[in-house]
Order: sequence, then structure tokens, then C-alpha cells
Amino acid sequence: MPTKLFNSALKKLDLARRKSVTAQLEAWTNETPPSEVGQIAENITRETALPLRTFTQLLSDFADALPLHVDPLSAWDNACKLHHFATTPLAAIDRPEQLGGACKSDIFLKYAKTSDRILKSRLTKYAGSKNPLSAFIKILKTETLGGSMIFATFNDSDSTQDPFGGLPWDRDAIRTAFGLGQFDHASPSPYLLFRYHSAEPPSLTLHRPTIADAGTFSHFRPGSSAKAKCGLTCPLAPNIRTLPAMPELVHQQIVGDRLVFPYEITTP
Amino acid sequence: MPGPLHILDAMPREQIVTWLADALHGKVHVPLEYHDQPVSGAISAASVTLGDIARRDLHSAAIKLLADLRTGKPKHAYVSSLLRLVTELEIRDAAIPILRELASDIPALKKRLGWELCSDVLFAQLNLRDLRDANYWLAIWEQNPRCFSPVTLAALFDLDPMAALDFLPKLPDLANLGDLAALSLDYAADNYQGHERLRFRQVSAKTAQLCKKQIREAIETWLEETAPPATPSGRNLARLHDALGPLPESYQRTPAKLCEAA
Repeated sequence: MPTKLFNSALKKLDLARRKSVTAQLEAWTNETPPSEVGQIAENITRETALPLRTFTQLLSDFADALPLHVDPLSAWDNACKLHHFATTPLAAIDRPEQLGGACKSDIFLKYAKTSDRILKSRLTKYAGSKNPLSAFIKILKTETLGGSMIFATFNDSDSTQDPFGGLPWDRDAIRTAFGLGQFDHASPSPYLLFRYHSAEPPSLTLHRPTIADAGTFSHFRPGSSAKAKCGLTCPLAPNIRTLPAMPELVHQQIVGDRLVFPYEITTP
Repeated sequence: MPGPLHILDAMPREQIVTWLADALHGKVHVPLEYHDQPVSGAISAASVTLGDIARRDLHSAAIKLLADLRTGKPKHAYVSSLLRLVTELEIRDAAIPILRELASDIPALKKRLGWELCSDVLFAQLNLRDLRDANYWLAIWEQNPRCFSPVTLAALFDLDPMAALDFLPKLPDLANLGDLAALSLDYAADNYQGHERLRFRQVSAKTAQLCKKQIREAIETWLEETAPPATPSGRNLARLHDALGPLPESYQRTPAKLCEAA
């Protein structure tokens, strides 16, 4: 069921753009066999957090991008990039002290100035260590953590505590709780779990994520309440262990100088 | 649910080349494992879900694009992403000759791609285990010691850690190189056991004295941080005894009981 916000944004488009957006969303919804695009279309119609003006502009940009791209998903992705971090930043009083993020070693391998073998072996060796080798700490502290936008989680009962709460450290649990998608059987490499400070100067500007931040990531789910200060992950089915949905926020790229040790590495 | 890159299963080889070039330029959508994952990592992870033909065609497409790097001035991010992809797909046999060719004329490569990508080409060679020999890496290093120290360091430690120690005094006096040297030593030391490990640490300590300040300090810090726990000397044991006082009665009785039992 589309939200009022979606309908209002759609109505504000001129007829040609409205038709174009509606036709594309219908095509995605009706795709057989069902694939991630159907979910992306559903997410778009269920958005609740984007300001109306931004949502309208996002849909308009999507309509304009469609004829320029062979792949409609790329058109959506490019339109989304113009509207990242569109929700009101979290007030300082609401800002979680410690944040956590999950990624794979490919982030580090992209930037690190050493061989994959050395870096992977050190990441594994010092996972869980409160006092890793100081040279390794220095290297990690200068590394970029994540891309241009980072999805972060936190402990919503006490944000000074471990952002991963009581989650088990196995790969399936992390993938399930964070809703990390369709690659399970394909990519058995472990996830790296990082904790970092939000308040170290300069403090991070944190936002509730929207469909524009999620872009083409189909496992995102827009929150049902327009007033919520953060988003929630959608644990993957079947979620046999009934792992909780994790709170999520987005922020700009950071470097490792905010890291809190230890970091963790998932077990198989 | 179809695999993340199922569209490739239906594409002819030429179309996969175009798709891959577009994907690495960020022009077409690639399903990610997590938000903002590097495209190369996502393609590599998803490639195992492809059928045999599409996977083979994806590999040959990557090689075709790699070969195209021999001419022109492609965008930095694209080249970097392609080199990561070739490494992550582990296409050794077809990629290594091209990487060697690219690295054979560093001045020409630098002119087209810049120093940083020259270093990325060499790292791709190293990560695909095209280790060559020490002379090869030293000749590369001499062309730009600042830029090529990290890759030369990693390569020499992969070839022969004990011999690689001789390279440490040549490193320029930069803090990040000191940290990379310490990381390489830490990695190498883990592959030694017992006496060999002790010997490696001793030679490292001696070598540190020949190194420039920031390199020496990083090696010394590594040695301190990874020093094996000291075995208590006789004098230390006596001090410990003084500090703790006599053993509790129960502890003193135990040996006698054991003797009785025996």
C-alpha cells in the first residue's frame, strides 16, 4: 500500500514524469520471476522519512534519468545519489556515542598499501584483540572505512555500550540481523565488524536512512513511522534464531581514527 | 530467486565486455553484499553464482579490459577497480603476462596512468603471486623509491623474509613505511617457529640499527610488543618469593601426599 507521502510526491510531478515513474515501478513490481527490483519498487512506495520536496525531486530526477540509462536501476541509483543524507540530522542529544558497521576486507584491500596476503592475515590475527600491534593500529587509523556513505548501527538501550549488543559473531547471524542479502551461498568470506566513536571532534552528522540512501540495495526497508529518529534493519528470513532488527543510521565516509578496539571478525 | 548477476547468463561474450566496462565505470547497477561495497568485490563475490559459460566469459572480459590498458588514458577509479577485480577473480595465467607487459615500461605507464596506478599494477602482480625475484623488485623500486617502497617491501618479504631484512635500511624515512615494515615483519615472523623465529627477531633487531629513524623506531616497537614472555631468572624468583611470602600450608603438603600415593 503506497504511503500518503509517496502519493503526494507523485502527484506533484508533471504528467509525463508521473507516467514514466509509474510505468517503471509497475514494470519492476510485475517482473517475473520476482527479483530485487520488485522490492525496490515497493520500498519507494513505502517511504516515510524523506521531506516531500526532496521526494518529489528524487522521483523527478529518476524520470529524467530513465531515458539516459540502458538499465533503469542505474537511473534510480544515479537519481538517489543526488539526495543522500536528506533527513534532518540527529540532534546532539540523540546521537549514539558508539557506532558499529559491518563490511568485508575488500574495503581495506582497495586502499591498503600492502599485499592482500599480509593485510588479510593481520586482520584475522588481531581480530578481537584490545591491543593489536601498534603499527597495525596506525595503518587502520589512516584507512578509509567504507565508501561515500556508511550505514551504522548502535545499541539503542545504552548507546555507550557495544553497538552489536548481544549478537552472535557468526557470519549467518550478522548477515541475518543486518539484512545483508542474497550472497550467502556465493561469498563465504567473513564480515569485519567495527566499533567507532561518533563524538570525537568533529562529531559525525548522523541521519535516518531513506530509500535515496539505500539506492539499489534491495534489503533496505523504509520505517513505517515518519517520526522515528533512526531506521531499522530487516532481518533476513527465515531468522530461526529470531535475531532482532538492528537500529541504523547513515553518515559520510570516515577514516579509521575513530575506531575503538577490538574489532571483530565473523566466524563461519 | 535468480543469482545476483543472472543477466550475464543470457549475454553473449561481447556484451559482457561492454557490461563489465560500464559496471566498473559505475554506469550499470551491480548488486552489492553491503552498502557501498567496492564494485570489484561485489562482482567477484557474485561471479560464483554464474553458469560456467558466463563465468568464463566474465573472466575473458576482464582480461580484454586489462589488455586495453596498454593504450589510452582511462579513468583512475576505473583502472583501480579493474585491477582489484582481476586480482579477486584470481585470473592468474591470462592476467600475469599483461601485467608484466604494463610494468615493463614504468616511465610510459606513469605518463598515461600516474604513479599511484603504476603501484596498483605492481600490487596486482604481487597479489596474483607473480613473485619474480628480488632483482626485479629492486629495479622497480629504484625508479621511484617513495612510490614503490610499499610494494617492494611486501614482495621481498613474500620471496624470502630473512633476505628482505637487507632492504629495510634502504627505505626512505617515512612513518607509514615504518608501520608497513613492522607489519611485514610481524607477518613473516608468524611463519617461523622456535629457534628460527628467535634468529629472525635477532637479525631484525640488528638491522633496525642500520635503518633511518622512523623505520628503526617502528621495528623496535614491533620487537617490544611481540617479545616472548621472559622466563623468570633465579633472582626474580627469589624476589617473587619475598613478595608473596611462604606458600600456604595446603600447597606445601601436596607433594608429600603425592609421594605417599606413589
